Amino acid sequence: MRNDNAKWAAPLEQNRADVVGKNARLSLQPLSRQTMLSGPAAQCLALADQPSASGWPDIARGESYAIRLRRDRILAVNGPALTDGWHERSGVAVSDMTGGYAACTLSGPRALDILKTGTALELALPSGSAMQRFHRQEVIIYRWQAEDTFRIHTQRGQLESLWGLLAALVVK
Amino acid sequence: MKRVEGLGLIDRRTPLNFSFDGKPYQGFAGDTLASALLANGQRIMGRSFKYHRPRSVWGAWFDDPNAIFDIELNGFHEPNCPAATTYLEEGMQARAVNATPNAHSDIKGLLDKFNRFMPAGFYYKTFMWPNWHLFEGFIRNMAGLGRVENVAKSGYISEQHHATCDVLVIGGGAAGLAAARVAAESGRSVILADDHREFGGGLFRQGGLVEGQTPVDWVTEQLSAVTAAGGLVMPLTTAIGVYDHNLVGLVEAHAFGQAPSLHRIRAEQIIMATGAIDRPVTFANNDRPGIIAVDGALEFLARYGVLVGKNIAILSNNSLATPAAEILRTAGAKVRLLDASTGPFTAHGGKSLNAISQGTERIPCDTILASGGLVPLVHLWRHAGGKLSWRADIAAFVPAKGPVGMQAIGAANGTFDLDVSLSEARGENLPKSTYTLRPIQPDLTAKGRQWIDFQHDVTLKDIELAARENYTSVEHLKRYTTLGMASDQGKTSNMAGLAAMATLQGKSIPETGTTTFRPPFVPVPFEVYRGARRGQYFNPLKRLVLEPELRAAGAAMAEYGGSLRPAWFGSGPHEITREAIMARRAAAIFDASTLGKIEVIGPDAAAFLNFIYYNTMATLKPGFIRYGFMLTERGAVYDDGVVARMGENRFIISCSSSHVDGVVARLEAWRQDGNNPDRVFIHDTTPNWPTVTVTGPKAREILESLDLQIDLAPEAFKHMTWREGRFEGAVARVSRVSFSGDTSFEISVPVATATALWQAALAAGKPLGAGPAGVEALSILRAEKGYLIIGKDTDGDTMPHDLGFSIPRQKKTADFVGDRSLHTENANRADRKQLVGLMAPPGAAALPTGAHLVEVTLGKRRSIGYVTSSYHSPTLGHPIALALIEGGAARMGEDLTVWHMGKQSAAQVTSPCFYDPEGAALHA
Repeated sequence: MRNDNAKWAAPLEQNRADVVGKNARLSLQPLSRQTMLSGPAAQCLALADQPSASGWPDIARGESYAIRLRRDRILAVNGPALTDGWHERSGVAVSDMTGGYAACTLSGPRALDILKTGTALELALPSGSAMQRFHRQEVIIYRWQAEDTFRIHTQRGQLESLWGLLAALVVK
Repeated sequence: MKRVEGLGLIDRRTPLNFSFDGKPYQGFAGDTLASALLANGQRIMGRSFKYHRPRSVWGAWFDDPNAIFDIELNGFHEPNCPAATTYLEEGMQARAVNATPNAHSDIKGLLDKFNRFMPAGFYYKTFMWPNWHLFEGFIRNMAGLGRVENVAKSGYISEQHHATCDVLVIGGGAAGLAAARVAAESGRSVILADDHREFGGGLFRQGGLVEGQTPVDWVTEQLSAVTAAGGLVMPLTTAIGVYDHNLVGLVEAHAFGQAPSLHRIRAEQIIMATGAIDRPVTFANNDRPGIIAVDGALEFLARYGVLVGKNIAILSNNSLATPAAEILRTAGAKVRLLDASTGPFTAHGGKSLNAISQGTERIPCDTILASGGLVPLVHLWRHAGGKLSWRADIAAFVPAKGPVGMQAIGAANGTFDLDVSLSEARGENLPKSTYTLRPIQPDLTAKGRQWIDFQHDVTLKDIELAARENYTSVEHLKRYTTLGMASDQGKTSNMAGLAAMATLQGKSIPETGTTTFRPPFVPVPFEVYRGARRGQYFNPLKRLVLEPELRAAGAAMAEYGGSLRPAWFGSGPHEITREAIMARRAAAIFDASTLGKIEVIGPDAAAFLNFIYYNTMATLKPGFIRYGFMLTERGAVYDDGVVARMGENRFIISCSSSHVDGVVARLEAWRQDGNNPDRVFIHDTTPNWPTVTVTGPKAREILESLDLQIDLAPEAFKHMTWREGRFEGAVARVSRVSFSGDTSFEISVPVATATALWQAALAAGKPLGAGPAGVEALSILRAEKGYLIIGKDTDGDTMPHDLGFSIPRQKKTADFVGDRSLHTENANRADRKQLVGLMAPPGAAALPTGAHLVEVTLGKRRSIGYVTSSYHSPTLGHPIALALIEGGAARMGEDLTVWHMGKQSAAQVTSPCFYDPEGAALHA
């Protein structure tokens, strides 16, 4: 039985300040709704009211969009409110993940190089899925609004480790 | 040894001061430590591993196993630096490892006098009695290489980077440069890596012009062409390993004291142009300082302008000896050529050479350059699983059937002529090779010790001993004699060792075999592999949404199953007892957010769960909860948890906290195998639903204060059911399940509402004597009730009927995972270990967890089981324990002997449920 309070730094505040380094900026990205939908891709998109889902290295645009996680799964960001469970008519399973994933934004000319320290991402190598591992941590990575702006989602319990890793790389 | 004017790639305008073993020296920018020492006439640079024999360099680059230094510069210390690959920097202080006080006068050199008593394997034979550990410290102190500091180096951090390319060319010699240029100019993305500062490989030492240009000009032109075509050239970069799917680890060296960088390159095509090195010649006293590889001596001359001797004997069996002799003569040396295939030869001298003899002829010399033929560097080929084939004409293994996307060219492919190599690299027709070789093998009758492995002091006699003791397999030979171990990893010793074993057995080298090469190709600091994953980031724990609240309430946070959770609240571990008593008398409030909330959704969800679980889940009604086991295919219990049915097509699995990721993976695997994957889906929503558990006789009162809009009356909200309510406008899923044995409610809410719920529960509980409690108190409560923790109270063989859950095994008709294994002979054994409770005699201390229960028969003890959980129960006022014991269920009331660390005590077998066996508190 140990008290490891000192070993594990207390989590940062949710309204934490951006981390700014040379040619890179890291900020926490509050999102009002995240919904996981599993089922036939077209049915998932229709239910989420999205025309398409972004994989890698697509650029998601706007405040409401969908990210493709795998052949039969998308994450709808800021999409419509949907009831959790099985949607019989469309054959889609729905779960709210608004609090389940935390997201941050990494932007700047150096952002891609920072990501490439921990994952094998290449703009020239597209992938239908935005799922990646960053320094062994499971994450969702996609571009948002701009060529050099990346949004990274992770399970909320792993936000602190993702943030710490990225922050150290940003200020390097 | 001297510098030769006009030769070398060093910058003679930039002198650099350094010291070796305390003596000051001067070299030039571009020197390695080895070349600078040779230029200063310092030949002895180290001591061998076992006998502490004086050693000079054998090779001029990574093929030198002998000169290994501890180096300090500007307060930075780095152990085990190869002198031949460490570039000189101003102010370096180098010391030979494994030498006391220095390499020239090592007092441990006396050990060599006793060499006949220390053959291969003598450790294993000599220090068996009374105990190896009595000798271990002394031997480790005597042997070994550099000293590692206990303090982590501040700022010594390796950068890591991922990249891809069409073509990765490893090796920047003639073949590599030509191949890289062809690839780059064809429009493919190219990375060209070489471990030297200057590209060119063996071009400089070969002398003469390259396609009408000096080597320097030719190399410059090729590099310019590669970069002009968009290629990336990476000097000082070594390919240390080839891994699955053409992943190559490139380690880029930086200035001394700065951690190397790791580049993980995924290449469509790998061109291995790693060159070849000289195979040593096995002859008497062949480890003496001043016996150097032919190509090593030429490298020292061509790159650093160092002539390694004045009176040189070249002992070679191949056609490269004659041009080498001409180059050395031109540089000012007197050179005599000797045919290595005509042996036996003997070197004469101690710390300095004075002659080599063959029969009665004694040839004075101060240096012997040896070559038993060129050996292609096929290590990376083998890393990737490539095969090798034996080429008798060059007496070497060369790449044969290769991994997809990998190609060997140049000397690495056994192509040693420059023009042939260039044609091969460019995909042109190959001219005829001029390289010839006369086979050699060690003379088993020759007098004197003949070295096979310079670094580890393995001699021909050691190989003979291994053969006599039947360690004839190459892999056994390596491990018995330590041949090819340490930093050399067989680069110089592998072929010599194979040749020796082949000769001893009267076989050919290919019949004898070859060892498996593994990454890394050269020694690299552990730091290279670590990168950013350090400290908290090496294996980061999952963090709770409520952690700030928990810390504010005085929680001592600790790791439990991959999550950082509160162990207790307050000033120390003594609070655990207080929390357990509080839970039984009033109520305890836990953060149970880590419990699984895995949703199984779809029209096949019920059938799927019925298959996944040991217990029948198909009959579970919406609104109800059922306890169940997940089994492995072997029938062992993998997880226990509860399943809540949310609706016709939706279930939520609340598995053990530490098993969430594993359970999700198992569910996905089974979903995609044997099920229609469009009719059942798995969503891990665990992090979306923080959970606050309120347990104890006053739990209901606390919940009533929370205004959850649920009828909490016992008859309206029964044990093992769930209800959906509201808390501050948000959904609140409330489950009536218990891990303490008392009335319990688990309230799961969205993340945004969790803090308010926690604070409200604490506020409502405080006037009732309730408060926060940690995992340790919960562990006591559950053990009092006999609730088990999988992995603690079970082992890898525990089946559900060992835990008292037999009905599905007997009556469930539907298929389920592990079913067949529950009906095997092993599953039906009467002596299976079964979960029971244990009571110590009145006044006795708690039994040690892990203590064995023993039976004594004819004076011999035999373990019949062990204690899995043990606590002092504050509720009951005496110790309690759970244990797995052979035939435990049939032993109720039996007195057993407990054995732990040499001490004996007594315990009585009881039911594992010590608290509220009737369940009145649970259902209240």
